[in-house]
This record gives sequence, structure tokens and C-alpha cells, in this order.
Amino acid sequence: MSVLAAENASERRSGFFARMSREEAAAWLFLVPSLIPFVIFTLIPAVATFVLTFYQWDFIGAPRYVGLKNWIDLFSGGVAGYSVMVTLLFAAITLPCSLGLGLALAMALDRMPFGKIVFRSIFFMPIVTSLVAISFVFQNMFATETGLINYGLRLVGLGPVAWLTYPGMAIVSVSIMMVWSMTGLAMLIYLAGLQQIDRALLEAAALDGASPWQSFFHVVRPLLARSTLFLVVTQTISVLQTFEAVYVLTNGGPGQATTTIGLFIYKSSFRNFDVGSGTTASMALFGLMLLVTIFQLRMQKRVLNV
Amino acid sequence: MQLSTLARAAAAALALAFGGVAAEAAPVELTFANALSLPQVEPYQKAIDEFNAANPDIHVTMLNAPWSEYWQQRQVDTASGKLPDVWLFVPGFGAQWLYGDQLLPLDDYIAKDPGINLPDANQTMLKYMTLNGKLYGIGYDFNGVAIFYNPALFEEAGVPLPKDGWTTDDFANAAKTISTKLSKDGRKVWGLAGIGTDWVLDGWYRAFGTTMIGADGKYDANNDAGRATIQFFADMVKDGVAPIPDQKDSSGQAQSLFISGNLAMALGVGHTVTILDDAGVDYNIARLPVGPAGQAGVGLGGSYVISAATPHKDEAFKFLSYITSGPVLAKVVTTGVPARESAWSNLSEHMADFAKKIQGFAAFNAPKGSFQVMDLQNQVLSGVWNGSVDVPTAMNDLTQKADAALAAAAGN
Repeated sequence: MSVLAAENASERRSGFFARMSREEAAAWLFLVPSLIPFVIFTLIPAVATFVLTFYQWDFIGAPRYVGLKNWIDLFSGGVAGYSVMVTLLFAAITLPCSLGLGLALAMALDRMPFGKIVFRSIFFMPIVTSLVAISFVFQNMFATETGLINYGLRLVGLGPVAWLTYPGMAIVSVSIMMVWSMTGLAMLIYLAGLQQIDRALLEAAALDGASPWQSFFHVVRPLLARSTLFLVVTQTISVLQTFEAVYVLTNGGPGQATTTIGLFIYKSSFRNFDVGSGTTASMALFGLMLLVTIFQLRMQKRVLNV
Repeated sequence: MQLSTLARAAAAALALAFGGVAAEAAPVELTFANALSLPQVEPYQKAIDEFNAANPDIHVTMLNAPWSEYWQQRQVDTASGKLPDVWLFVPGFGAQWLYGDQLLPLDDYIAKDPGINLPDANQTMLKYMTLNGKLYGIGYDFNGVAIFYNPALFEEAGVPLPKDGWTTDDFANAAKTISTKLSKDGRKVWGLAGIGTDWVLDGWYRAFGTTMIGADGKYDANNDAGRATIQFFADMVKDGVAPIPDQKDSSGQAQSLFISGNLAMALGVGHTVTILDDAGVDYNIARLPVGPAGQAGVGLGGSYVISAATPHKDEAFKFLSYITSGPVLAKVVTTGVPARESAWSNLSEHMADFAKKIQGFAAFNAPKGSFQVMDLQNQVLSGVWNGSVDVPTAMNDLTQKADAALAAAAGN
């Protein structure tokens, strides 16, 4: 009996493997069209980028192995490390501001009896406008002597502000532009979230004596958690990649005050011919994005349970 | 007899066959990389078509890219071993190629070309494109800094108009007097704007007796002359004669102020002529002043070079010689000063005046790492302009960073 059972089990196993092999083969066949471009255009460049972090290369001569030098430079308080801090600072400033403003605008629009589509389109316009074009417009608006903002300040009797001249003010100015361009998306996502909320819940809260603030904090806010999580993750990744805004507006200055990782990568690789430093900063950027993604995956589980 | 007839017939057939092959032989294909704006493409393409028609054994194809992408494309070309045969080149951007033996020395080809007429070419550009006694490119345009001034503001302030040979003291006094006299009753008039911290600073350093990068490949301006140069401009900013230079675009800032009528003198390059002409403002152009050590100003421009690895060197040189000749430059250089005097006939009155005012400048010294040095000057000197750092401290900081950048670039 035991020999027969073993033979049957063996037959089942071999049939199972034969069937799985065919399924696997079919699966691989279907994957090939997307797998080949992925390997050529994503995986190999990514691995090559990582390998280049251990080399000094100027695109022209032969790459020279320098070990961990580029990584040590990144963490030794140089421009590369500073650019990481600047990028995180921009994230810390712009994320709460854009999300807060987006939520406020969404709540206002949600209660607006008319003109909802018009205002929604106006607030969403920065999302569909080229960031380079926006940056050029803001550069002219921020000009100390000839800018529109200082012209307006003069009209109301105030002195001009040197928006892009001093490090602190330049960070504020770039942040203003970034918040302006990010708020539209936050408004749209929050508005969609608000329109999903069952009005009966708010009415029930009101009947139970909840104030508008309590309704918002205990009913609306938890129900918008998924929208908030989505926005935090997408906007963080977007801010981490900031390049056009600072390239056009300040070129990373004054000094290095607004040099983000994206700008540092560009300048290192394509202006200073230091591919090793550029790829090392790229890997640091990848690491930061990986952290954000891990955070997203963990938080998603919690939010789904709300 | 029959044999000889057959032989002749065979020979004739062979001649016909090979002759036919020769007549149908494909022309040598050359690639010509350029970075043109849209309005510049047509005259270039026309010139290339004329060259192709006149030289059926050569076919040139132009590869055009926006300036912002041009150098990245050459980097990718180099990494993949596919540099164009003839391409646009600027040493400041392309020092890696110039010092990396990627360009063909032209001296032997020039010696064999009686029509090249180098005395007609801009001599500053030839020096700019010469490394270790070898010429690597021939210029197509030439640029330098001049002073664009508003004659009405000079007249209003009772200040004599600038003239050739005026000194840096005359220049500073004119700026200060105009700004002081005319800034009243809520009106602000600037004496000077457009203080650049890139390659143009090298010209000012030379006027005060030093250079940006010395012959030893180190930053050469942390001395009395260099500090005096920076202090010269820092004082103007501090006294309210000049605005704090816009770190991103000081020349754009100067042009805006000039067009608004609130600026007496703008430092600017050839592009300023086009901007001011388009704006329709009244202006004149003056040569840069003479400093304690001589005439201020360095020049640079764009040139065309041949890749050392091209398999068609003779054909490439033939095209290079054609595209940088006077008659062709007169047609294709539509937004600046052609790098041959014989091509100036089509220039506007202002552009011709500008061309004369930037002659005789020294060539900008652009070794490997000069770009980083210019970036560093921009970054560090922004602290001087906004008053947060004094000149000696900034120059010490700048020297340390610039020398490190130059050493790293030289080691690349």
C-alpha cells in the first residue's frame, strides 16, 4: 500500500510540475515584452549607476576606481550632503503647507454652491502647466528691482523685498513657488475624498452635539486618511526630485542655499564631469525614495483598517 | 585579331562597369552637430545644402539640438564612441574633450589649404582654440563684454559720455555721479548693473593686474589685484550705485533695468544688442575701461572642431573650412558677431559698433575645471554682494574651493 501511495504521489507531483512548467513558460512568454525593456532600460542602467558610485569618470577617459570615496564625500558634510539636507528642508516646508492649503481649498469648494468647476479648474491649472515656465514667471515676479511682487508692495507703501538675494529668503521664495504648484493636486484629491464621505455621518455627529471642529477632527479627518497618505507619498517623491524650480529660479544659490539633490546630480554629472559624485547622489535619492515607499506600504495597512 | 578585338571589348566592358560603379559610389557621409535656435536653422541648412551640391563626393547631415541638451548629447556620443565628425565647440564647456585628445589638431590641414585666410579670422578666437601650440578649432562667432549706456541719463546728470581709453576710476565716478544726482523724489536710478561673476570677471581681474586661473592651473585672484577687483564692485553695490547682482541672471536684470530707463550703464555681451534693439530703447556702446594694469575684457566664442576619431579627416576639414569662411559666416551668424571681419557686412549698426568695441581682448583661459570655478565664484561672491561676507574672507574661501575643484578636474 505504501509503495502504491508513493507511486501515486510521484505521478501527481510530476503531473503538477509538468503543468506548472507549461504555465510558467506561458507566464514568462507574456512577461518577455515588458521584461526585456525593463532589463535594458531600467535594471542595467540602475546597476551601472550603482557600480559607477565607486568610480571617478568624466564621460571621456576610462573610469578610475576610487572605492568608497564618493560615498565618504556624500556623508562628510560637503555640497552633496548639504543638498540632501536642503531637499529635506524643502519637503518639510512645502508638504504641510501644500496639504493644508489643498485641504482648505477643497473644503471651501465642497461647500461652494456655484462655480465649483471654474474654481477647481483654476486651482488645478498649476499641475498641468510646465514647471519650467512657472519658474520663469516666478523669477520675474521675484526680481527685486523690476518684479511684480515688489511693484505691488511699493504701491501699498512697503519697501521692496530681496526675494532671491539672501539664503533664508531664497528658500522661502522657492517654497512659495513649489507650494503654489503642489496645492492644486492636493485640492483635487481632497475634494474627491470629501465627496466620498457619507453626509449621514456628519449629520449624525451634528445630532450628537459635535461642533464643526469636532466633526472635522473625528469624522472627516480619519475618512480622508487614504487621500492624505496618497498625497504625502506622491508629493514627497515629487519634492525629493525637485530640479526645474531651483535650476531656473536660483541656480541653487545664493551660495548653496537652494541646491537640491536633483540640481547637485545635474551639476556634478553634466557640468562638472564628475559622474561618480552624481551617481552617488542619485543612489542617495533612490534610498530616500525607498524609505518613503516603505513608509507608504506600512501606513497603507493601518489606513486600510480605518 | 579576333583575340585583340575580344580583349578590347572586355576592357571596354570593364571600364564601363567600373566607371559606372565609380559614378554611383556613395558620397562620404559627415555628421555636423550644432546647437541652433529655430530661426538659425534655415540659413545653416541652406549653406549645408550648397556645400553638398558643390561637393557631390561629400554629404553633410546636420544634427541640431537645443543648447541645454547639446553638451549632454556629446557626452553620450563620447561614451558610445560616436562623436560627430564636425561639431560646435566652446572650450569652457568642452575642456574635457580638448584636454582629452578627442579633437583633431588642424595645423597640418591649414598648412595645405591656401584659402583658409586665418589673418581674417578673429585672433582672440584663434588663441582661445589653441592648446600647446596646436589649433583645434576655427571660430564662427566672437563675444565679449561692452558697456551699454543711456546717453539721456548721462546728459541729465551732466556727466561726459564714455570714450575709448577711459579708466576704471572714470567709469566708477560716472556711475556714482549719475546714481547720486538722479535718485531723488522716489525715483531710483542705478549707475551700473550686470556685474557678472563668470568668465567676464577674468577680464576685470586682468585690468587690475591678475587672472582668474593662473598658468600653474590654480586660482590666481586671491591677491591685492584680485581683492581690489571684487572690492571695486562691492563698493558700488554697498553705495547703492549698483543693485545686488541677480545670481541666476545678472545680465537679464541689467537689461530689464536699462529698458525701464532706470539704469545708466549695463555690462552686457552681444545678446544685449538684440534685446535692446528689440525693446527700441536709445543707447550707445562704450568699450570697457582701462584698469590700473591695462584694458579690461576677455573674449570667447563658439567654434567648430573635428573629432580626432573621424575616418574622414580631409572631407571634414573641407567642410570646416567652408562653414567658417567669411561668405558663409556672413549668412549664418545672425545673432552675434561673426568671428571673421570679412563677414561683418550684414551686421546692424549697433552690432557692428559692438563688434569694434570688443576687439583686442585677451582670450579667456578655460582649462579643465574652469566651469566649476565660475560656479564657485557665483556662489561665494553672492555673499559679498549681499554684504554677509567681506572680500578677504570670501576670496580665501573661494581660493580654497576653486583650487580643490581645479585639482580634481585636472585629475579626472
